[in-house]
Parts: sequence; C-alpha cells; structure tokens
Amino acid sequence: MTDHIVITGYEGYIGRRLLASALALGLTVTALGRRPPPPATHGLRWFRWDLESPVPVAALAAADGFSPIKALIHAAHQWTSARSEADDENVVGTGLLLDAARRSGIGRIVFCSSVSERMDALNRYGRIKAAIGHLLTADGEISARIGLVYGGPRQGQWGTMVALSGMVRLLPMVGIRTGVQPIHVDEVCDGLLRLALAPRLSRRVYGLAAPTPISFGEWLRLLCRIFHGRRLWVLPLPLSPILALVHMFNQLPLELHVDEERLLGLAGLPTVSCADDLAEIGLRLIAPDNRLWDEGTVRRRNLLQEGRAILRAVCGGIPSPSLLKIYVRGVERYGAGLPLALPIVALRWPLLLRAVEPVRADGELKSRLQMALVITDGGNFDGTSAYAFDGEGRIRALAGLAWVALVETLLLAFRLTFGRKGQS
Amino acid sequence: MSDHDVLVIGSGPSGVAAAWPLAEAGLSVHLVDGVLPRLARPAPDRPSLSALRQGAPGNLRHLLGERLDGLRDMKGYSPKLRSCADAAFLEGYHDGNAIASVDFQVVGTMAQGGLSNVWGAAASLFDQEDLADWPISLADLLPSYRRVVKRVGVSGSLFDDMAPIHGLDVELEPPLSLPPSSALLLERYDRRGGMPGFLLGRSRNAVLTRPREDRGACLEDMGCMWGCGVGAIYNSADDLAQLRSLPNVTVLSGLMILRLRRDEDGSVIVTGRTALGEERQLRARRVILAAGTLASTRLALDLLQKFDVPVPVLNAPAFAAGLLIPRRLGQPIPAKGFGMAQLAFRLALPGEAGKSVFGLLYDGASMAAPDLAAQMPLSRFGAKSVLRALLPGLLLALVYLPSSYSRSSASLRRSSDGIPSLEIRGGVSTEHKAAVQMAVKRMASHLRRLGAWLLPGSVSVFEPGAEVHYGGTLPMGVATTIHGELIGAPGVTLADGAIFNTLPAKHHTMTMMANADRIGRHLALEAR
Ligand SMILES: Cc1cc2nc3c(=O)[nH]c(=O)nc-3n(C[C@H](O)[C@H](O)[C@H](O)COP(=O)(O)OP(=O)(O)OC[C@H]3O[C@@H](n4cnc5c(N)ncnc54)[C@H](O)[C@@H]3O)c2cc1C
Repeated sequence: MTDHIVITGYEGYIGRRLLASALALGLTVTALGRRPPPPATHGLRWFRWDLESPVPVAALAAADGFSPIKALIHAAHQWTSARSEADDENVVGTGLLLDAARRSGIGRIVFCSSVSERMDALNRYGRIKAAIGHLLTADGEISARIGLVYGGPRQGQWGTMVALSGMVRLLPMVGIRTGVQPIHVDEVCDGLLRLALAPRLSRRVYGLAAPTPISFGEWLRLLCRIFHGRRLWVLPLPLSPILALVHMFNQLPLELHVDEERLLGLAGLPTVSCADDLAEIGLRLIAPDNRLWDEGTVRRRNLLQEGRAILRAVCGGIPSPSLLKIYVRGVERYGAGLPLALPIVALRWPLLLRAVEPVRADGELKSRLQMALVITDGGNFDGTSAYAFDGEGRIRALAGLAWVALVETLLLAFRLTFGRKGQS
Repeated sequence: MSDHDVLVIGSGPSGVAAAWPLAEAGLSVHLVDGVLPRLARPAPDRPSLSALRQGAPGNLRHLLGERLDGLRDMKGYSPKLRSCADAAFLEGYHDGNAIASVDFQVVGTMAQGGLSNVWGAAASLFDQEDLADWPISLADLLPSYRRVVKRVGVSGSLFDDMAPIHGLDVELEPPLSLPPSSALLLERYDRRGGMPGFLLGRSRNAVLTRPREDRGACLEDMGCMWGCGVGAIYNSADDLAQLRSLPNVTVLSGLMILRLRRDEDGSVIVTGRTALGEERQLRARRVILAAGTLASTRLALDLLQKFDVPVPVLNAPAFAAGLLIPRRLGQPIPAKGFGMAQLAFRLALPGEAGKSVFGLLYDGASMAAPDLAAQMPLSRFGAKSVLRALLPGLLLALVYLPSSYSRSSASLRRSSDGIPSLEIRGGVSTEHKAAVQMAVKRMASHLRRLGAWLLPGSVSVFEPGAEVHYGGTLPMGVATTIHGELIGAPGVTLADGAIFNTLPAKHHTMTMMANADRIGRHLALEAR
C-alpha cells in the first residue's frame, strides 16, 4: 500500500500544488480544509476542518484503503485575525492539530514556516510562525522555513510581485537591498514531501530557500524582464520615513490602505543558510532566472503550442487564434497553469495524443482534452462547426459511427498501455 | 418592540411565496436574504444555441461566460448548473450556514432568488396519493396551487396522459413547442394508445409562453441551460421585484442570518452578519424561515438547542441515462425548441406496492454535449465524433425515485467556535439499488418500443442530494404544526421543504410554494 499523508492548507498557493504533487507521486492523502479539494480518482479523502475547529476524530484514524498515516504537512495559515497574538487562530489551531496528531501516533509533522520566522520579527506573520515553531517539541516535528516562493499560477504574493514589476517603468520601493531567497513552488512541494517521507532527519529546522540571496530590487528587475519583456528602474526609498508616512496615511479616513505588515516583513527579512539542509534531503534548486524564463514567455509559447496540439487532437481542424487564446486562459485559470511536458512527436502529430489519452484515470492531460472539447462545442474551427447542423444523412452518420468504433477499439490497446496522466 | 410584523428569511421560491399573501393582507413584511445578487439575465438578443455553436459573434463569451467560468470542471454537477457560468454563485452557502456533509451533495446559494436562478422549472403538483402521509389534503392545498400557478406562469397540457399526474385543476399557459425527437416519441406513444404501467406526456414547466409586463415569452432558442435572456423561466428574484413594489414590503439584502432567539416579550430576535463582518440584530413578532431546507433546519435546531439528535433528510434519489433515437441519426439538429425538459413520464415499479418513478426527457442538442461525454471511455476525439453523429437523436432522461428510498440524516453539532454546524450524512435504503435497476430496465424497454434506445454504460446514479430535491427534516404534525410553526418555538414558522412529510418522485418546488402560500394566508388571517 502507498504512503499516506495528511495535508492542511491545500486551498492556498503552495498547498494546492502540494496536494497535486503528492497525488501525482501516488501517495494517498487525507486533506483537511474548509472546502472539498478538487476530485481525484483515488487515494484522496477530505474532512471539513479549519484552524478554528477541532480535528475530526475520523480524519486521523485508520480507514479502509488507507495505510496508517505517515506524516502530516501543515500548510494552512489564516491571514486575518481579530485576536491577540498569544491567542491567534494559527497558534491555537496548530496546538490542537499537534495534540490530535500526537494522540494518533503520527510520527512526522512538517510545519510550513517562513524564513522570516523570529520571535522579534518586525511583522506579526514572522512572530506567529515563530510562536508555532516553539510548539514543535517532540521528535519528528519539523519546521520548514520557506523562502520567497515563486512560479505557477499567478496567485497571492507571487501574482502581486509579477504585477508590481510590470506596473511602471520606474518603481520607487523600500527594502530593495534586502536579500531574498527565492524558491520555486514546485521545489517547495518537492522539499516538503521529502521532509515528510525521509526515514531519518538529522535536524529540527530545514531551510527551503535559495542558499544565495539576491536583492529584492534585482528580483523585481528579473521579473520585469521575463514577464513584461523590458527593463525596470527601481528607485530605493528609505524605510523609516516611509513607514512613518504609511502609518499616517493609514490613519486617514480613506478607502485605500497600505499593508504595513508586508513592508515590515520585507524590511526585517533575515537570511538563512540552508545549503546543508537542502543537501541532506537531496533537493537541488534550479536558478530562478532559468526557471522563470520557462514560466514567462516560454511558458505562454509552450501553452499556445500545446493548445494547438490538444485542440487539433480533439477536433481535427486548425484552431483559430481566438480559440487558442481561450485555451491558454482556461488552463491558466482552471488548470495547473503550466504547459504539460508533451513529447515533441505529440506536438508535431497531435493525432498521436489520441493514443495516449488515459482510459479511466483523470489527470491534467485528460482534463485539458475535456476542456478542449467544451471549447469546440461552442467554438468553430476555420468555418466548420463541431456538429452537422443541416444533417449529414443517416448513411454518413452510421458510417461515421462505425469508423469511430473501429478506430477507438484499435486505440484502446494503446491507451491502456501508454495512457499518460500528464504532468505539468 | 418589534420592528416588523413578519420577517421572512430567504428570497427563494418559498420565501417569496410565503411573503405574497402577508403583504397583500397589509402586514409589514421585511424580507432578508443572503449576500449575493441574483444571477444577471443573459443579453435578450443572445443568438440561439445553434447559431452560437455555428460561430455567431460572441459565441464563446455567451457559452463560457466573460471569465470563462464555463471551463471549470463540471463533473458531478447537474448539467443545469451550466447557466451559472458564474462560479461564485454556488459558493458560500455551506460555509455561511455551517453545513458539512458526508456522502451527500449539498447544493445551495446565498443569492437573491435562491436556486430558482438556475432551476429546471419542472412544475408538477402533488396529487392526493402523493400527500397520503401528510396531515393536510389536496383540498387544503388546491387554492394555493391555483394562485401560485397563476402568478408563476406554468405552461403545459391538460389533455395528455401525464396531465392528471401533473395536476388538472389549474389554469395553464399554452404548451411549449416540441423539438422533433420529443415530438416523435409522443406521436408514437399516442399511436399505441397507452402502455401498461407507463405514462408519457408533455412536461409541465414554469415557463411563460405568453409575455407579461416584466417577463417575456419563451424564445424557444434551445439555450435555456445557459440562462434565459427574457425571463420566461420563473425566477423568484423577478417575483421579488414585484413584491417589493408594495409599500408595506421592505427587502434587506446582504445579511447572512446566524441565529434566532426568542425574547421574553415573545418577539423573535434574529442575528445576522453583514458582508463587512458586523453583527446586526432584527426583531419581529413572527419569523418565517425559508432559507432552503438545510439552512432553515440548522437555524431551527439551533434555536431549539437540539444537539446531536439526528433528524431525517428526505431526498428523491435520482439517476440519469442517455438514450438514442436511431431514426433521428443524420437528421438536422433542431434550431428551435425549449431547451429543458420537454416530456415527462411515470413508470410503475411492480412489486413495490404502488410506488412509481418520475422522469423527464431532455433533448441532447440543448445540453452542453461535452458534459454528457465526460465519462465516456473514448478518446476525446472519439467522444466528439460520437456526439457529432448522435446529437440529432440524443435524449437525456433524469429519473427520480420517491423519498422512501432515501436514508439520509442531519444532526446539529457543537463546535469550538460557538457556531454549531449541521452535519449531513447521505444514504439510501437497501432496496434502492434494486429499484434503480428495475426502473432502468423498465424505462429502457418502454422507451425502446417508442423508438428510443438506452445507450449502454450511460446510466449514472447521483450521489444523494445532487438531484436537489430534499426536505422533510421537520415534518408538519411532528416537529412543526400543520401551519409550519416550530413546536417549542412559538413565533417561528418554517415555509420551505423542511416541513414536507414525504417527497414523491415528482419535483417539489411548486408544492413548496403552494404550501408556503397556504401558511402565509393562515398567518395573515391570524394577524387579523
Ligand atoms: C440545477 C437545479 C435544477 C432544479 N430543477 C428543479 C425543477 O426542475 N423543479 C423543481 O421543482 N425544483 C428544481 N430544483 C430545486 C429548486 O430550485 C429548489 O427546490 C427551490 O429553489 C427551493 O426553494 P427555497 O426557497 O426553499 O430555497 P432556495 O431557492 O435555496 O433559496 C434560499 C434563500 O435563502 C437565502 N439564505 C440561505 N441561507 C441564508 C442565511 N443564513 N441568511 C439569510 N439568507 C439565507 C438565500 O440567499 C436564498 O435567497 C432545482 C435545483 C437546482 C439546483
């Protein structure tokens, strides 16, 4: 039986990818969260939970078809709180979660913390993460200090950074000399799963972040070059007067509110040394500029190329540019956002995709092919529509059906053997 | 001091139906509903479905929504939910009402007009037999049925075999025109002069075929699944717009009701939360709960502080199946027609003492065909080719069983944050499986004789709740009085599906509205 882990916070930017990678690795997963996770064919169950409620008893107990829980990865974080720091939902909720996990004998707990975690951090987030770190006292309870996460769908802080870098040519910004330690969201997931499954770990705290920091200003310039294709000038602003200004500004009765937390988080960001940590779990990071090229222009280009192949595989015709654009937007919004690593032959001869489409299993490839089917139901390809509106006559319809039956029967053997789930 | 005579929670079909007679009697009525606006009507000049599919301007925007929400994974959803291309529409009901479920699909919305924004508008009445286990009779409901049917606008036939099943003593709009597949089936059925144990006829729909001031007549453009641009399909949000034009009616949108409490002076205090997170209190002499069965049940159990005692949740277990009329293969795809259920049938289940199932038939060409193909084990190209060939003769049957086959329940649970949650467990009776098998078999054999063949592998049995026919948590004469008043909490009345005693296989919303009207009328009389 495959390893079984618990994941909280799969609704967030990291957690969503984490859940997908765990399932893609063939792990069975118990997901704890407010909303049901996207359906998976197997190995996934869900219990309603949030940081303000106790852990459902059945969630951590043994169940048919699930091996005993090997590890819990705690990625949930509640951003808004009306409570004091001592009784912040995150601290209290994590305490309850830890108690429950310990009671059910889960031997490994991986807590998603941040490089900014410090009891004397300037921002609440860093202090809360540190307070939770102190709760991890038993053996096998690990804190992962995650750096500046980038990549994947443009959500959360990552989405804001990409947008910010393209807003203006000259960007006045505080803290541009602060060193940040970027790590790709897929690398974070890989690292967390390694921490969860490694048989033995030598330390209690692991850094998941680029070992060599780069300055925040440099980072924004890089994003601008890659995603917006131009140069960005960053104008350093001194922090303390700006903080004072922001503070005053926020006192004004205006709709607009500047997030002091974010500024403080940036200003007080420490650097953690993590080269040894990464080496111990065998995680090798790819330089962000290399990875990001793939995500920016190259990502779009690949998605367009993929769209052309997928839409052709489903429809036979050459899709119009507007259909392609809809495909790309659909994948960015409702798929994993990244191109599938389709082999070159499939891009060249899209009809081959029909032979590797999985029969029953769901997966990214199948869901994108289904998306293409939905698009072509309503769209038209260079003048031809998906249906024969004027009627094609009974003979042709029957001949068409017989042909499909023949082809599909022949394809079935291939599909059963080579069916790919498709990973992005 | 009460601010209002009556406070109605929920502006779905039941809330609005209860509010009308109270408002007409001159009472001051205050209606509160959830945090979302109604779904916007699509553009009235949206081209017909077949024109859109052939590339009419804006086709993908119309079919997939501005934000392409139509591309989200719709597996497991009713195809009727296509029309809410807006993904946010179904969010918030569970969290806001603290409803959790296992093996039961909860479908709800916090929008004005409730689920009638997306409903299928099948509008039969219950007959004396359907009401056998109810403490009221058809005669008690009939005047209300008449009023509601008139206000809503229901089209159909009073002269075919299904007419007595849908109800006879009401005034109808002329029927909708039938697309060729349905017309063919009905013609063959009529030619046979009936079939034992099987009745077929037109479906009864809450859809206008004659225009009114605020709503147009059905355009028959096959696009109903994507919403109706002229408002021909009844939506209680339209009804609400009329209702609020009365001087003694006020509507407050954007208040999520959290709890009800009774005050010492006999009035009811209702606490809600605004979108900004502030709590607000309202007070009324009488509160009518019509927030959808599950939300109303939770508020009622919480008021009674009835924790950990399971109450039944009745639902009408359902399944869907694909059928093909071979004769229609290769024929033109209809460009005109009503895009939701056109025919209805009733099938007796022999050996199951008087039990029957109720089914609706939809033309495949009016559906998002890829949804129908989602589970086909073919390659997507194969699926597309098959749909291309089958579409002119494809029918979808949605079939419902009576609630005697359901075994779902709900309990109120305490939680650490002080907001009790309603926990629902879905289930079916041990006879359910055999009954579904028998229904499939008999439906297939009857429809085959009329020329429609069941497509192998196309039967899919819904998870309880997914059919959105539920009620019966606080039945009349047991947990509530015959006028819906919650026993143990005078001043609080339920007016939605929660107080049903049983659910026949038929659609229940018209009865919910008639019952709400009956209750509203009773309260209006009492107030005098
Ligand atoms: C896809 C689909 C197709 C359907 N087809 C049919 C059909 O063909 N025939 C049929 O008879 N029935 C059908 N139904 C079922 C029908 O829609 C429901 O039975 C009907 O809408 C129930 O009415 P209601 O007023 O009880 O509740 P709802 O329509 O659920 O309305 C609930 C109202 O309460 C409000 N509300 C909820 N919680 C709160 C709260 N805490 N505080 C304040 N306000 C709250 C909401 O905003 C809303 O206004 C269908 C349903 C769906 C989803």
